[in-house]
Amino acid sequence: MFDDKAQMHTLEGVAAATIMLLVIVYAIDATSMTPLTSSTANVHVETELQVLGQDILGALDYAEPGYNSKLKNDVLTWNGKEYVWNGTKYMENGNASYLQNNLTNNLTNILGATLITQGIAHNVELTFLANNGTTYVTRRMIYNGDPSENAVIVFRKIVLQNSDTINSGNPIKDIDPSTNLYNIVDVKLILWRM
Amino acid sequence: MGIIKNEDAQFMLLAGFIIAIGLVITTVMLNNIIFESNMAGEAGGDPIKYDIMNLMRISGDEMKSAYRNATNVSGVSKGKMIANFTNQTQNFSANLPKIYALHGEGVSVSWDVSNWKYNVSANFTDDGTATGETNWTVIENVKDSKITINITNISGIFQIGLINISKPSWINLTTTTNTPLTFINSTTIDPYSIVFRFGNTTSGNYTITGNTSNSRVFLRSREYILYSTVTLSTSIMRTNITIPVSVPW
Repeated sequence: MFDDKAQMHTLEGVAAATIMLLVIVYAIDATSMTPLTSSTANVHVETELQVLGQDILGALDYAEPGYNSKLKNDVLTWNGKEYVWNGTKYMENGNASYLQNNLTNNLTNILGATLITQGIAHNVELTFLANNGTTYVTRRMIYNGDPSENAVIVFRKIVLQNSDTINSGNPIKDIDPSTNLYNIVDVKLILWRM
Repeated sequence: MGIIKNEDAQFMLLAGFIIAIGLVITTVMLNNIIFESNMAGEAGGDPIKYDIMNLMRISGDEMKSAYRNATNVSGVSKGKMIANFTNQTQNFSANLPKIYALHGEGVSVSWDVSNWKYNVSANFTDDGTATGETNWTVIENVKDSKITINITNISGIFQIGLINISKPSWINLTTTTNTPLTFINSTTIDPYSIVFRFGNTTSGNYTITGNTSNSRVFLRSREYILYSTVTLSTSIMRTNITIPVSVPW
C-alpha cells in the first residue's frame, strides 16, 4: 500500500510558499508606490519629460540668419540673479519687493505656458567656463527646490561671441580675449513631477 | 477493519490550486511582456540625437561667425583671413570638449576651408552642394528685397522666381557675370517668395536683404560652402558627421 503523506506535505509546502510570495509581492507593490517611485511606468513619465524639455529648448534655440536665438538672448540678458516661481511669477529669490525683481523673458514665457500649467517642477542652471578657461562655474537662473531622484535633465549648448551684447551683471566672462569667441554655455533644464 | 484513508480529493484540490497559481503567474508575466514591448520609452528618449544636432548647430554657427569676423576686416590678404578664421575655430574646438566632458561625452570638431582658399563657388542649391535640392524657396512673405548675385559658372539656365498670387515672375540667367547683378523689388499688398530654380547647374554667390511682410529685416547670403566634421563619443557609441556650412550666413 502506498503512503502519499510525504508527497502531499511537499505539495502543500510549495503551494503555501507560492501564496505567501505572491502576497508579499502584492503588498510591497501596493503600499510603496508613490508618484516618484521608480517603476516601469515612471520610465515612461521620464521619457515624456525629456522629450518635452528638449522640445522647449529646441523651440527657443531656433534662429534665422542675422539674429540670435531666443534662448541665447535670454542668456545674454540674464543679470546673474536667481529666481523662483511663487505661483504667479518668477521673482528674485530672497528679494521680491519690487516689480523689476521679476524675471520675464522668452524662457519664462514658454515655461509658464508648458511646465507651469502641467504642474511640472523645474530648475534652470547655466554651466560655463571660468575666465581661466579650465574650471567650471554653475549658476542657477531658476530654482524651485532640489529635484527628486527621478528628475530629468536636458541640455543645450550656446556659444557666445564678443560681438554679442551681454548684461553687465552676467557672471559669464570672456574665456578667449584674443578672438571673437566669448564663452560656451551649457543650459540645463531640470524637470521633475511633484 | 481499519479506517480507509482516501486522499484523492485532497490531491485534486492541491492540483487545482497549483494550476490556478500557475495561470496567475503566466498571465502576469505575459502582461509584463506586452507592456514592455509597447513602451516606446527607449526609442523616443534617446538623448544622443539631441546632442548631435546641437553639436552640428553650434559648430556650424561658430564657423559662420569666424568667417564673418575674418572677412570683415579690409586690406587683409586671404591667407591672413584664413589664419584669423583658424585661430578662432581652434580656440572653439579646444574649449568645447571641456563643456561636453561634464556629461561624459567626448567631442572633436574640424573644418575644411579648401573651397574658400581656392575660390570654389557654391552651387545655388539649398545646401550649396551640387547634390542639394535644385528648386527651393530661399525666403517667403517678402515685402521688399534687394538681390545681389554673381554667377561664376553656369550650364543651361538659372531662374530666380518672385512668386506671389497676383503677379508671379521669373528672372532668367544664362551667362556668367563679370560684375554682380542687382534686382530690387517690392510689393504693397501681396507678399512674394524668392525661389531658386535649377540651382545645381549654376554656381556663384548671392546676398539677399530686405523686409518681410511683418516688417522684419532679413538677410540671406552665401559666398562659399565650407565643411565641418564633428565627432561625438560616449561610452556606448561614436558618431562622425561632416556637414556643409554656408558662409557668411
